[in-house]
Amino acid sequence: MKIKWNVLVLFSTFLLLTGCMPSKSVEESAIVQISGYDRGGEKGRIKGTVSIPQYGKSEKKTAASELYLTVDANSIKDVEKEIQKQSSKPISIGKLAVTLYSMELAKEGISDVIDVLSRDARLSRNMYLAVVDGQTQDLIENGYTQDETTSKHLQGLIENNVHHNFPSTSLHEFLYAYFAIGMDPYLPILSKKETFVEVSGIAFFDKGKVVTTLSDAKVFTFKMMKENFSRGMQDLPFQDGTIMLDNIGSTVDYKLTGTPENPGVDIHVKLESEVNEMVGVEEKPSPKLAKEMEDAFVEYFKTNAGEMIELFKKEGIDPLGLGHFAKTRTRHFDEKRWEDLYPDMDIQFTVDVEITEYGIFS
Amino acid sequence: MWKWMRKNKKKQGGQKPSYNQSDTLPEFIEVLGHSEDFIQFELDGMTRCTVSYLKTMSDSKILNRSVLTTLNSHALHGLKEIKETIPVENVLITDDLKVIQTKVMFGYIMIQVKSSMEQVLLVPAVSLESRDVSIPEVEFSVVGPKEAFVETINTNINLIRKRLPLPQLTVKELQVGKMTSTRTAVVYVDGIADQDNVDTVTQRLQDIEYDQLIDSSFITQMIADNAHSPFPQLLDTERPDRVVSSLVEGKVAILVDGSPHALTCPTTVVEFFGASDDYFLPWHLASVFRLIRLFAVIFSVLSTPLYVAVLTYHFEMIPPELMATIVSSRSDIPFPPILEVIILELTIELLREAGARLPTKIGQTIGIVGGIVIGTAAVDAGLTSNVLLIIVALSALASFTTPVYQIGNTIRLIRFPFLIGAQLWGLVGVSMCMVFFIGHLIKLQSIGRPFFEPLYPLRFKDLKDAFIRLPFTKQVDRPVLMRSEDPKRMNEDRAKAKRDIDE
Repeated sequence: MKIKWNVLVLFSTFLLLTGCMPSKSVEESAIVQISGYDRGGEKGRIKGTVSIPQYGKSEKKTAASELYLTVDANSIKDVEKEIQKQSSKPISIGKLAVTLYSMELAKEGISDVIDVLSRDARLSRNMYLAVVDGQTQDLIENGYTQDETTSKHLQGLIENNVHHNFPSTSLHEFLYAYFAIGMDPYLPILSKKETFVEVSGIAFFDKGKVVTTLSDAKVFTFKMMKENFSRGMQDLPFQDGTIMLDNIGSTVDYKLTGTPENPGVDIHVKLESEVNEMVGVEEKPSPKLAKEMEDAFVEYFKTNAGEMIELFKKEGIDPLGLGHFAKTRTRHFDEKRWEDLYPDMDIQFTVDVEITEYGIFS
Repeated sequence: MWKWMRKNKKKQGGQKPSYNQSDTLPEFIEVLGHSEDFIQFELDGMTRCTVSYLKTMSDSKILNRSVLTTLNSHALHGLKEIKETIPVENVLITDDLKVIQTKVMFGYIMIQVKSSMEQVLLVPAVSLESRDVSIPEVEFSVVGPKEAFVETINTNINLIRKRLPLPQLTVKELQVGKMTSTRTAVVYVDGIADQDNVDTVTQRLQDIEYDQLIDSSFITQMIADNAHSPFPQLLDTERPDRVVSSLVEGKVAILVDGSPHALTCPTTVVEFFGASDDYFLPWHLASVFRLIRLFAVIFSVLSTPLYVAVLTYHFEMIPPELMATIVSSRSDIPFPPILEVIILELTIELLREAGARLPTKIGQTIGIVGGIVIGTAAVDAGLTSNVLLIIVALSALASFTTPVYQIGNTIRLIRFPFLIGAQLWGLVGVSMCMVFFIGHLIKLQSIGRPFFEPLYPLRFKDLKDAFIRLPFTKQVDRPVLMRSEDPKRMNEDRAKAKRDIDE
C-alpha cells in the first residue's frame, strides 16, 4: 500500500510539472525548410537567409507563399538567434531540407558550418547541401513555381538530377567523405538563370574549401567512375552529327595494383547502353556502326577521365575515395605516404562500352 | 488490519444465509402465505390432503390434468400411494426442509397429508417462461450457424449437447448467489479438458460470496485472476458453435441461468480477435481478415495518440506533402492538439453511448446525425481539423471490428492513457504506455494459465491458430495452453494422406 501511494505522488508530480513545459503545435512554429549563407558585409560576418513557408487558412494549395528573413550574424548559431528576433513564432529547424552556400563563402572554407551541421541532432541526415554560383539570398528569394515552395523546388531539382547524371549527395554522404581518411567531399553547384535554377556542375572540396569545379558536360564521366548507376545520358559529336547515349547499367570496379611501396589503382567501368538518337548521321544503323560508336565513346570517356584524374592529382584531392579504398585493402595504411605518392600515382582508367540496342527500324 | 478483516470474512462465510431459510415447514408456509400468488387448499374428496404451490411458477395444466384428477378419482392414503398413482415423472417424497424450499420456489407442487405433516410430496410442475432461440446479434456472422443462447440454462445446454453428443460431455451444476441461488453449470469434456482447470473453475465458483448473480458477466469479474484489469479474462460468447469448438479444444465453459452468454476459459488475448467466421472461410482469407482486424485494433488505439505526439513534439516526422494539409487545417483551431482530440473522442463516445441506449431504429438516426452533422459542423465552426475528424472516425470504426464485444469496450478506453502519455512526453510517452500495457498483459492469467500465451510464453505450436489460421489438416494438436489430457485432435497421417484415387 505504501509503494502505491509513492507511485501516485510521483506520477501526479510529473503531471503537474509537465504542465509548466511550453509545447508548441505545428501551426504555431516557424518551420525553416531552406537556409542559405553568404559572405556578410564586414569581414568574418555571415549573412544568413531562411525561408519559412506560410500555410494559408484555406485548404487550397494553389499559392505557396513564403516569408524570407535575412540577417547579418557572427556565426551559424548566431544566425538562428538573429532570425528568432524577426520571427513571430519560435523557429524550428527540424525540417530543414536544403542548405546553400555561396561560392564566395565556400572558397574561403565552410568547415565551421559543417561542424555545426554535424553536431545538431535535430537536423536530418538526408538534407541536401549545395554550392550556389552567386548569392544564395537572390536564389532563395526568387520564387520559381506558383505551387511550390523554393525549398521543395530545389529539393526536387537535386533529387531528380541525382537519379540521372549527378552523383548522389546528401548531408550524410558529405560528412562521410569529409571525415573519412583518403576521401574528399563534393557538392552540386546550383546557378540561377533569369527565371530558373539549374544544376550546373560539381564543386570539389579540399577539407571544407572549394578548390576546383567540374562542368555539367563532364559530370556523367565522374558519376561513372564514382558509383554504379543505371540512368543518365551523354551526348557525343560523331561523324557529322551528334549521338545520344542512354545508360542502362554501368558498374565500376576499383583494383589496387603495383607494390605496397609503389601502389597504383585500376578503375574499370562496364557500361551497357542504348543509342536512340542520331542527329546528322547519314549512315544507316548497323552492328558495324554500333561498334564505331562504341569506340568513339570509349575514346571520349578515356580522355575525359584522364583529364579529370590529372586535375585531382594536381589539386591533391580525392573525390573518388581511392585512398579510402586503398585503406580497406592495406594493412597499416599510412595516410601521409599515400598523400605524398598520390600526385604521381599510376591510376589507370579502362572502360567497356556496349551498345546493346539502337532501336527498331525498317 | 487486513488480516483481521480477512478473519472476519471467513467467519461470515461459515454462517448459513439466514434470510431465505426458515427453520420449520409451517414457518416456511407462513412466510410464503404473505404472497398473493401462493395458493394452499385442502382437498376433501376421495383423497384428503393439502395442496400448496406458487401459482405464478407452476404449470396449471399439470396440476389440473394430472394431479387434481388423480387425487379426486382415487382414494389414496399416504404419500407413497399418491406418488405411485400420479402420472408425473420424478415425483419425490422428502422431509428435508432445504429441498422443499428450493423446489417449491421453482414451481413444484407440494402435497401434504394429515398423518405425516413433516413429510411432503413434491410434484414437478415447473413452468418456465423463455425466449425462443434467435439469431446471434452481438456476434453475427454471415455464414455458419445462426443460433444464439437464450436466458434458460436448459435450452443452452441443449444447444451444446445436440452439437456434441458425447457421454463424456460433463455438466456440473452449482448454485451461486446467496439470495438468487442462480443455477450455474460448468461444462467440459471429460478426458480432454485438464482436470486442474475444471477444479479451479469449480472452486472459484463455489467461493463466490455475493447475494446476486444476474448475468454471466458478474462471474467474469468475480472469478477473474486480476479483477482490476481492464482486459476480460474469460471469453464470453453467445454462439453455441463457438462454445462447442472451445470444449473440443479442451476448454471449460460456464453457463449461467438467466444469461444468454456462455463463458469459456482459459482464454488468451489473441482469441478475442478471432471470429467464428475465421473457421468458415478458406484459411488464407481467414488469416488475412484476422491480420486486418489486428491492425485495426492497433490503429484504433494508437492513431490519435500518434497524432497528438507528432503534432506537439515531432513535426519533423510529418511528410512534406502532408505538411500543408495538416498545418492549414489546424491553423483555425483555437485548441492545442490534445484538447482537440479529447473533445472529438468524447463526442464519439457520447454518440456510442447514446446509440447503445436507444432502440435500434433511433440509434441509427443518432449515428447519422452525430457522424455527419456534428462532424461537419465542428469542422466548419473551426473547433476541430478535418484531418483529425477522419482519424477519429476511422479509429472508432476500427474498434468495432473486434468480434467480442467485451474487448471492444477495453479498446475504447485504453486509448485515453495513451493520449495523456502522448501529450506529456510525446512518442516517449506513447511507448511508456505501451510498455506498461504489454507488461500488464504478460502478467495476466486466465484461470491460472498465461493470458498473453502464444507470444509470452512463446509457444510456436499455438501460433498456428493465433494471428494466422492454418488449414484444418495442420491443426493436429489441441492448444498447448489447455494442457489437454488428450493432446491429439486426429491422426496426422490419415489427415495428410492424399485421397486422389477413389477405390
